[in-house]
Amino acid sequence: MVEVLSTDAIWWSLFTMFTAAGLILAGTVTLIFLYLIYRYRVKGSEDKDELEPGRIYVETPAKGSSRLLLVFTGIIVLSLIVATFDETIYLERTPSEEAFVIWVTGFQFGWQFDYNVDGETITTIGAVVVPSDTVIEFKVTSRDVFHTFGFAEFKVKIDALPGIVNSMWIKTPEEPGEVYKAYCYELCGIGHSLMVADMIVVDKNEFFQAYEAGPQEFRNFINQVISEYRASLQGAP
Amino acid sequence: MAGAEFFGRLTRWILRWLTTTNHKDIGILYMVTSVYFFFIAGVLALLFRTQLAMPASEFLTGKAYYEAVTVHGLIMLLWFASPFAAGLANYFVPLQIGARDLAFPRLNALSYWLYLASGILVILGFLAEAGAIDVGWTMYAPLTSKDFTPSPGVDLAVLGVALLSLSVTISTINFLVTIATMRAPGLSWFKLPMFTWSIIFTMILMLYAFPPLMVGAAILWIDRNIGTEFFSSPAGGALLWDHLFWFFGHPEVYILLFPALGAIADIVSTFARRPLYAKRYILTAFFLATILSFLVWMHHMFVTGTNLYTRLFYSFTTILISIPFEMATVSLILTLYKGKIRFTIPMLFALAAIFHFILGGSTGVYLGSIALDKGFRGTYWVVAHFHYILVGTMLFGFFAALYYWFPKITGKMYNKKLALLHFILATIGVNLTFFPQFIIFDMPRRYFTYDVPEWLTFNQLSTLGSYIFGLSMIVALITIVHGLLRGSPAPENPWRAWTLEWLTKSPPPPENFEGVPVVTNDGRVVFVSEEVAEKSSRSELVSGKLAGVQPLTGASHAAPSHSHAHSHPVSIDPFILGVGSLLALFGLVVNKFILAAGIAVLAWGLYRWLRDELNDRFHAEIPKYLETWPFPRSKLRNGMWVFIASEVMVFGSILSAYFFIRFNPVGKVLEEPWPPGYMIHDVGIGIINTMIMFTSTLSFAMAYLGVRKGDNILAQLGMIGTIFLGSLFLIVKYFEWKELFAAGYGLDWGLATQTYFLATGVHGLHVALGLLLTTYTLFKLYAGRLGPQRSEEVLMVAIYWGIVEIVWTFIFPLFYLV
Amino acid sequence: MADAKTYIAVWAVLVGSALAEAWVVLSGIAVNTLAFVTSVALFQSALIALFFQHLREESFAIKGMGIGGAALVVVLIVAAVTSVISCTPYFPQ
Repeated sequence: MVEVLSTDAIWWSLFTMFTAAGLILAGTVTLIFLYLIYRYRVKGSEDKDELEPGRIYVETPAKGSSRLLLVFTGIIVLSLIVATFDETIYLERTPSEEAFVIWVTGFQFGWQFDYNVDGETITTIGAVVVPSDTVIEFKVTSRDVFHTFGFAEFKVKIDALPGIVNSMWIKTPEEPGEVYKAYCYELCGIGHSLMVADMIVVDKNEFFQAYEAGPQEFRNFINQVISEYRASLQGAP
Repeated sequence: MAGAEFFGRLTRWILRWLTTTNHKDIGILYMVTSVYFFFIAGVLALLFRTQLAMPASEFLTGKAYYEAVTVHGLIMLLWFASPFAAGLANYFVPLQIGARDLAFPRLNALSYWLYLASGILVILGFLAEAGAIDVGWTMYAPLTSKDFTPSPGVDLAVLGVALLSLSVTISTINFLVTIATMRAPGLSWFKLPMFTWSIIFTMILMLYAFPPLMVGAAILWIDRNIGTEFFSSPAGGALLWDHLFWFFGHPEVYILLFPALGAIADIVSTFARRPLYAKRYILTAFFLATILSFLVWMHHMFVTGTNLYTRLFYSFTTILISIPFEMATVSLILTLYKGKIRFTIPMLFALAAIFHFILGGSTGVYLGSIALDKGFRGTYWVVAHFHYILVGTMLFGFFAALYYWFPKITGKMYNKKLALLHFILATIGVNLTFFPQFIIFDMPRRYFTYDVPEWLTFNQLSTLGSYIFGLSMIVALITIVHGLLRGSPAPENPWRAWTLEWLTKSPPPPENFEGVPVVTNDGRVVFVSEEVAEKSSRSELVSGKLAGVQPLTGASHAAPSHSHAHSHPVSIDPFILGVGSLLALFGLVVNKFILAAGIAVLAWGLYRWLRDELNDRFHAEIPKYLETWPFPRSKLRNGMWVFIASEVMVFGSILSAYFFIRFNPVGKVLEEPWPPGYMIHDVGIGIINTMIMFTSTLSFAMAYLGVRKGDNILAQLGMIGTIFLGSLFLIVKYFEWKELFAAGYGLDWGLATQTYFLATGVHGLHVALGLLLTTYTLFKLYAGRLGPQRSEEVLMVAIYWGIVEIVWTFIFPLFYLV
Repeated sequence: MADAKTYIAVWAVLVGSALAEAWVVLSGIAVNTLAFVTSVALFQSALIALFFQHLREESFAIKGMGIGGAALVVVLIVAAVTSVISCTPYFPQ
């Protein structure tokens, strides 16, 4: 089986690449800019120039070297984007056949998560429990208006549109215990800011053990994890 | 008695501004109004920045927060930025091209009053019980549908947007025709200053980008009020709105940016004492950006989950568009090379704008990658990026332009120390507000409350920055008022600049120039009297060797002036039409009696308008010595063609909605599949109407032939035939609609019939308008009131009938046959 | 400069093509009706623009303005249709 890269790792590598290229290009341009401003500033009362008002001055003709500069920067920028095509396609398609599927339905104002266990649907609202070290595929849709489902840490998001189901995947971390926030990223009404859900990562083995034990077991397991997490929040100062 | 005298003077002063058609007055009106809207939207921004400075703050409710955010966005983009640029363009484009006014001064005044009316409509939402529009300036469907947001604030804003689009379309016609046909002799396209060039590109963008917005707003309104479901049903819905909105929305960014960049280019070149470096590259870059800007809008839809390859194409074009802007920026910077840079206030703002543009531009490149956009979409990175462009670059460009042209507009110099204080505070404020937002790029946009401690400090910095920026605006206001009241008198050309607007008095006289400016072959600007210009050939003029020529040295020139014949006619009609549309649209949302009053005022204004037009009060030929290549000299014909281009986009948007809905797989699941047209509609009647349509156009062609040949009988018969056939078309249509409703194929049948009613309804309105135009032309012909350009006036109507017929050639097969 | 004969000839072609179009579609000869009627509409539009709107006599700049608009409409339609056509419909219970 091919190693699945995590979505945030891909994103950060691209981000670094863009930032490096941006710093070099924009940095060079800025340095030239600053130098020119410094070098050609008017000193003291030097106030003479050959340019007469009452005459139309159209342009200073371009020199060959500046043309090269334009072509060169153009090529860098273009190659940047073409370089991201592979990653884009990789991010768009769920990499593993055995991805664990969770259905997500946005509504005003919250997220509903549905697991399919042996043909039975187990629903949670506002929190979702996922196994560690697994590729999770979210099938995202909306019950009412335009929402966008996404995680800040995993650097992925997808629009939740009424009437359409979209898909998005993440790879959960190897170690269980983390809790991630899912946000809504498109203004969906006055409760938009409150559309936050928790994603609790639990141990892979425990999770699948409960999952394979049948709907009733799994429901209990999920509810227990969520209530434990909420209790821990209230316990904290 | 003193009181009465004061009252009289006040009345005259008010009347002057209500009735003016002079481009400089309209420009000032635009600028003052847009700055007023700027302060409203700015205060809203300070309100929500205050909210964000505290976590879980209860300074604003969620509803109030979203009203503030939404109206801030709408007003800043549509009612401040574009109109401020329009104000500068109004004032300086005619001056820069050496014209006396715009091609259609009265239409120009109409544009302004419609703009003001539309802005007031949006603001009026705050008075409504349910508050102003609160769905985001992007107005994403289906949140805007009546089920989710019943507030009349949305209706007011939507109608405001539609009215603004109308005003913008009128402006585009005016400016494009003016620049195309009214340039001073010898002022070739290439010699036009960059600011004027940027207005050309802006107007082209507006021409094609605003009609889809207008159609989107109109559909949204009928969705909310008549019961169609284009945006509320998932068969059209969110994605259809996305396409129509962003097809407008992305070019809009360049509509906002271009005028500022053009002004910056002129200013940098003036104060570096160097002609612009590689102007042809900058022009090429602007041209490419104009075309590409219509091919990038789907980068706002990268995470909609739509077809991957369509999105990859748009990812490619999005990155491509960064190249022209990079070309333009590099050219601007290289203009400094070997210059003699003077750090005046306009120059400081322009240089700072270029800095902000480099930062804002390169952070935008990230958003062109779909992979990176998955992380950035809907976060503060996007907010920071576009505010660096819009505030850091565009607004700074506007400040630069304001200080650059302040002496020309007011005839006074501003206080340098105050202006410097404005510059320092504004620069600190902008960077302190927006740079921290790059750092908290994980924070979702439009959250009025958050509980992540790491975001707090940066939000507080940002709020502090916004206060400093707010303070700088107060300083700016003081600077301007101080300059107006206490400023020392400004010379004609305080900056020793070399564009035409500096070769006249400060402020310019109503007719702009004394004499006709001519650009000679060797690049000098000379002024000749109008008689000389009329009598001489173009080559004589531009040779610069005519007798009686006044060479210009920048000092006062005493060319004998007889040009007061060009005194500007005043007209209250544009103001009446503006009041009428405000009342009518406000009444449409609120109250039937106000609506009726509005329609009455509109009718009265229209009647007055046509009466004046009939009496030729506003007729002005374009003098033959002006540059018009490659456009025909007739401004009527040019204007109509520009209008036709916008009509193509109006019907194209409706057509794209048709195709979208028909091919959307969601619709096939949701409701009855779209039946072939002949199942619902009577093909026979469709064919009859097609024949009527074709024949009416033929009839008008005959009328045109008659006018050209001087055959009045043929001309009148042709027009009567067109009126008869056009009316017949509408009558047939009426019975057709009635029958459809009776047979159960009304609006509630589904999107298939709704699309039909939309397309044929809009087409029917155009037929009705065509009938009015034709009747009016027939009346003019009958009464012998056709102007000297009689065949042009008739050809204009023929061109209009052509587009009505072209639209029908698509509607008939797409709805009746397929 | 068009004369009466040209106008009538163009009109005849328009009427004839509309009738033929309806006949072809209704008798089921056309394979892809949508493509067929769109091409006929484009042909008719071109005739109307060139002769009744006298676009023939205009400069390249005026022609470009109209054709530019038409091209943008095509771009809008193609993007709208290709983007949505692969969407998966789904309605939560």
